[in-house]
Amino acid sequence: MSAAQILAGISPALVKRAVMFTHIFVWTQEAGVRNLALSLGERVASVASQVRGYLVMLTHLIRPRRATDPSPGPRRLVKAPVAVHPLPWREGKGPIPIRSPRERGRSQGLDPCVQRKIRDTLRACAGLAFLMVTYEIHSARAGREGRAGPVPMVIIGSPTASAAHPPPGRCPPYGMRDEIRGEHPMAGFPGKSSGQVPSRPCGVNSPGSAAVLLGVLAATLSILLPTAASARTVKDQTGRSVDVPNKPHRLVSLAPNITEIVYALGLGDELVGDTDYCDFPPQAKNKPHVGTMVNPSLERIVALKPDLALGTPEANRRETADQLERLGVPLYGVTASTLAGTLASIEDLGKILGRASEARSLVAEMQVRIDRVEKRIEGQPKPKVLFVVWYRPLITVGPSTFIADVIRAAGGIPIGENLKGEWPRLTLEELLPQNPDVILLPKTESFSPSTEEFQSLPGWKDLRAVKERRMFFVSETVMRPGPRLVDALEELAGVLHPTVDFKRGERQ
Amino acid sequence: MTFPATPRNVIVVAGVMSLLLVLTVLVSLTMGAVHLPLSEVWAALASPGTNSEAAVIVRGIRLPRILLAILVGAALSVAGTSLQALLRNPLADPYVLGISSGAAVGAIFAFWIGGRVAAASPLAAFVGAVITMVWVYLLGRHGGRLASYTLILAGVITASFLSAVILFMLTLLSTRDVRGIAFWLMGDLSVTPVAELRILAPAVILAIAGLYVFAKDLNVLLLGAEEAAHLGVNVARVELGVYILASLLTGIAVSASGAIGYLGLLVPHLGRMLVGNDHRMLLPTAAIGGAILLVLSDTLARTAVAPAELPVGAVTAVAGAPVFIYLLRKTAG
Repeated sequence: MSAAQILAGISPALVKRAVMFTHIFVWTQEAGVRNLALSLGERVASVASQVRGYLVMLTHLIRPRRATDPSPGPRRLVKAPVAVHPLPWREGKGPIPIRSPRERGRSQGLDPCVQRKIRDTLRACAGLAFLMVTYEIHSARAGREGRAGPVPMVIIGSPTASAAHPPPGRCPPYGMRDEIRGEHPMAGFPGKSSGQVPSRPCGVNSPGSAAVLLGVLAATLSILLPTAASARTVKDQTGRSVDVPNKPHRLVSLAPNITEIVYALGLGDELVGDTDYCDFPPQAKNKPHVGTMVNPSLERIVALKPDLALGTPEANRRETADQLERLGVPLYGVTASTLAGTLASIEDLGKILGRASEARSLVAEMQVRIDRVEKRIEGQPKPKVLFVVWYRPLITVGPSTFIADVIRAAGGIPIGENLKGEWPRLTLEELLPQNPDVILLPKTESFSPSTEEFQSLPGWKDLRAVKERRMFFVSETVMRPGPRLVDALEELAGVLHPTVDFKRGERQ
Repeated sequence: MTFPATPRNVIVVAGVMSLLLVLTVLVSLTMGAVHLPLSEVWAALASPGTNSEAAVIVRGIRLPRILLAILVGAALSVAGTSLQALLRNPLADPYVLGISSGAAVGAIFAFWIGGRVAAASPLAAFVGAVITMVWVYLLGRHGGRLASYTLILAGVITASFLSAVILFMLTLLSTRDVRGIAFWLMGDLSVTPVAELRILAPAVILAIAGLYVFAKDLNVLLLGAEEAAHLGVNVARVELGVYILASLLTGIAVSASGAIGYLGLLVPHLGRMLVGNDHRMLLPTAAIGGAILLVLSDTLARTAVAPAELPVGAVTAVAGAPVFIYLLRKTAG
């Protein structure tokens, strides 16, 4: 479609329609201002009368067509609309010219009052849409101010709609403006007028179902979320503002390392939920699980009634944090990219959870062990270390991860210092010239290939570490920035420096 | 089974489908990782003031998600239905034609340069969808006319090209962002906040209403573009309108929930089996039917491996791929 064709498509009729829409828009603005000044009950009443106008319009659109039917028997009445809307390619008749509803209305001679109804119904629909919007704004404001918003109501049609079956040729007394000008906005509601009007049940086959739909929509859209009672607002390590209760006593942990920290601080009893992967200490396995780190079940978390959730951007998604915040569950995030950072996050969690002194002594104890390792590896040769996160394709650790930092602290040089990202891929071309002295493999349930598998990988048997059989499985503790990271540090130091007396790694 | 598309019939069918939808929503509300008895669900819905856990779960987690599923299901199905009519191709679908991928590229691009802003992401997804659609349209044209198979081929090729673009952009993002985006790409209804829902809902409803205006023109277009032009349909205008609105719907759906495939393909065909080929009847049926199907799929995704969740895109693909193959064989043979 060329630009010229597109431009040619903008006909005067299209312009006219655009002008019409502008009119409707202006009118709804006006209606919105008026609606804002009304109370909720009055607004509901005005919606009801608008809906009623819609029903009346529909009955009228159907009625004149029935009147034009030449033989008004009850059976043919049902069939009559078929003749009005033939499907040219299905009925086998010749195609008929397609006319817009307006043209058809004109040719069949819709009387002016029906036309007025169409006009007013259009306005009513637009008004209804605007009403929904103002209602949303109103309830959102109420939610922000901490009070309960207006009660959402479902408008199920209007049983008095049939009041408007008029004698032909006369305009029925209806219309939202008449209604609002009346002595009471509830005048159109049942109870006041149903006595004199035969009421028609509003089932699925009545035009009212459209109104029901709109009503349900309006009601369901206006769900207000509870706001949490806050104690103090602090910035967590990821830079989010979190309302942390002064003395949290129902904790949910969203990562295994955090579960370990919580237990190490002596808060195991306060922990009410953790993830499927939290397996240390062993009693953490018996806590209610909320799912995986990346995709936990928000429902489960909420059902545990936590007053504080603990997470880390290393394992959790930002979306989870956003969702929990909206659900009124504060989420405190910790993050660590170095060994020192891990200690700092333990101390930080201690402060948040009211266990500052325990955290300080735990961190001091860890620092003593780190210093001891540092002293013992002094003067030792520094082997080049390849840490294998995954082997097909080969994924190693980036220089800015805490694993690389632990390797450095254990007296090794992690391969991949020049790589970008946290978990970079490594090609054989890059690996061969670097020629690692030691290859470390974390021992996890999902990752347990044999050393033979590595030797069969192309090019690997020429690596120094493979030839000298310095491939080691280390415990996966090294992948958890928690209290046991110093265990991993001692293990790694022992593996990298077998002559020095550290804790031993498994030699394969 | 076909009904003539009289206003009364349209309303009856839409009413029955809406009832089914309400029923589906009620069933879906009672299912999830946490077991809630029906009475508690009802209490949570009936008394909006309470803040019990059941109320938060029902109103804060399940209902927004179900509402989003309704919106996305309706949007994708209506987009698919109108595209199938416009292109006179039973295999047309925002996903197959690459429009979903285009929208995804747009949304990720917006994320890449500006973070996840509520309004930017749907807008960028819309722009991506429109650009892709125009591109596929131009590729698929053959001698001034749309050739059905060329168009599908153009769409599939564009989709795979755009997947490569997405993968490239993912390698440039940090691991943390990739984790979220990877989930979103597989189709994830859980992350859209209620505030966004309030913007998306009117947009989807207006776009569907806009497409309904073209329903009769689409009927005539089924005869062929030239025939339709002879019958007085302004083909260029209809094409432009349907393209823009279908792109808008796809952009909204993708930005809110990622690329949920096959829904736009499956639902129109189911709808035609139910009510026939008249778009005045078919469009509302497809809208509500798509909503029902996606709510059901998402309920399955939420509960099948609870407390973990399946991506809803996987559920729809499992249901949709066999239907796609069946249609392909039927049209080829």
